[in-house]
Amino acid sequence: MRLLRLELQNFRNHRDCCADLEGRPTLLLGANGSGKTNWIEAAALVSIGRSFRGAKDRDLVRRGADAYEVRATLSGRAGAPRAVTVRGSLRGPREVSVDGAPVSRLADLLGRVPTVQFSVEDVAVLNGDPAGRRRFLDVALCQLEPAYVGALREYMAALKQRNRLLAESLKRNGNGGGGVDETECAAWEEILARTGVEIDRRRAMLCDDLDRRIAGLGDQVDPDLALGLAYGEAVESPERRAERLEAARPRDGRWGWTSIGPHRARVDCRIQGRALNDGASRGYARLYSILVRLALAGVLDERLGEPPVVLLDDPESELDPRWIGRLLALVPEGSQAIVTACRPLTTSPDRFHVMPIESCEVAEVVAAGGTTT
Amino acid sequence: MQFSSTLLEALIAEITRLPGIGRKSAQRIAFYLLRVPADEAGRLANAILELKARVEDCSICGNVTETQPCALCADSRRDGAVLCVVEHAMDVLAIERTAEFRGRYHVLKGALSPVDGVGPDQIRIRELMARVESGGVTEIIVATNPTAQGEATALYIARLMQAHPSVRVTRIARGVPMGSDLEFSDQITLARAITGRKEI
Repeated sequence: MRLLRLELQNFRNHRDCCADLEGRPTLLLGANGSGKTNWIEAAALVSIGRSFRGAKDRDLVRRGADAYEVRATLSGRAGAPRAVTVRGSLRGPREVSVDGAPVSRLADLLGRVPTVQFSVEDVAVLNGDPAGRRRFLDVALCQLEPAYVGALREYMAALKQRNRLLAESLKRNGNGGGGVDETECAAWEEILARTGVEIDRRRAMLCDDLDRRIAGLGDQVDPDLALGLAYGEAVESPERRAERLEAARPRDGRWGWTSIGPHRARVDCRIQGRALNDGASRGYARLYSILVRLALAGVLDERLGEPPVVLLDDPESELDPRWIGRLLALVPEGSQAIVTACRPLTTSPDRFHVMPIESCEVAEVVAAGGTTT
Repeated sequence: MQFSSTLLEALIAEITRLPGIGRKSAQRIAFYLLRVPADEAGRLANAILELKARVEDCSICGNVTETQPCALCADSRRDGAVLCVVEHAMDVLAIERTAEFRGRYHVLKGALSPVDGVGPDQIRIRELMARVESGGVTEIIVATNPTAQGEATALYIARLMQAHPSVRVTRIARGVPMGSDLEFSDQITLARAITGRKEI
């Protein structure tokens, strides 16, 4: 998948901005506050249908305007979308259309314009609480496997219901627990078991795949890195999971919430044999964050048969200057990399085209063949 | 915007409470009613009053009816051994339109949803068990919606029915709509249909 052109209207700080990337690997250069991260957010929006920062439409509309529009012109393998438009306004639902036809369900967009994105905020995600790492897997799997979206939705709905059942009985009976309608609780647990095991299985498979790839990619940057990724929840049968949920029922009843399942799973990111959130330097955390996305790009390429657009927002800050060139060389063959920076990269492959991003508008390519050194 | 007539305001407020109707539509309907002849408006008002006075739930199946029991429960040609369990009376209409089902119905009037304060006592589960215990039922077809609430309700009923091993409990199949192209099916439904595929 390659991005030929991206047009933004009234999106964040961009009034009217048209970038003709022509599918080439591109370095977007701009000062702080010029809207580089916003541009990356817009590029990801046409892929996942929402802001990767979790922003609502009212935050995406430029101050003073009442609606934004992002239009992407794309090229990919046969049958891939040629144009995706996302419109949002202060009021009313977001509208997404693919090749001119409206898309009513987000699930029908996911995976059709594959991207991976790295932004500054992501460093804290991998390195912070486990919820962020689970979300990373969820976003990836929603692009890869439509069935995952359904399982996740059903799981979260059933989880909310079982938790409410437990909380209500806690309120009625105090923290001695008990008083839950066992049959009703078991009905919700059966859904949690079926969908939860499905989620765990798919997450574990993705983690295995990412683990293999990130170890290999890490070796190419620096053989001492010893990177790894592992999913912490056991893959088991739905029957076994239902038994465990039943066994946990008295304790869950005292706590008022469900204590086992994919919503509590650990995702372990390791560097040099230690957990990433166990005192790894910020530079290492950033390097890991970028490499795990490049590993994901490889997975998307292989499984969707379409190399994803790789969006890297300001990857070089806090990074060992020796690494950036090696990192960019690891972008899968066929993937278009779009990288932002405040100043030319220390080292980058020659094929990168440079586009200045200034005062909210991305100008034309400086000169055909313009490169950084 | 407030209108100069408080009666008009009151009517708009009432219409806005109807499902799927926002303030704009409510205004349009209210102004329409303001202009129609008095007898036409009277017919509408009467229809609502009559409905509230005469339509009630069937004492057996819970479907809406003007007679006790309802026409479906009273129809001796229908097979009382097979019960189709649905969430709402509207679902009975949907299944009746297929003309494929000749058994009887049981309307739950909802589905389990602790978040909304709906437990087994809030829907007609006890009435269902009473019907089963009174004998003659050999199969229960659970046709609740394919949502988490509908699924949980189905599983709950299946668990209760373990006490009646002679009664078969089945769940309606789910998959791809007939007569439509696969390419237009939503991905989640299609993925489910593939997981739940059958031998032919």
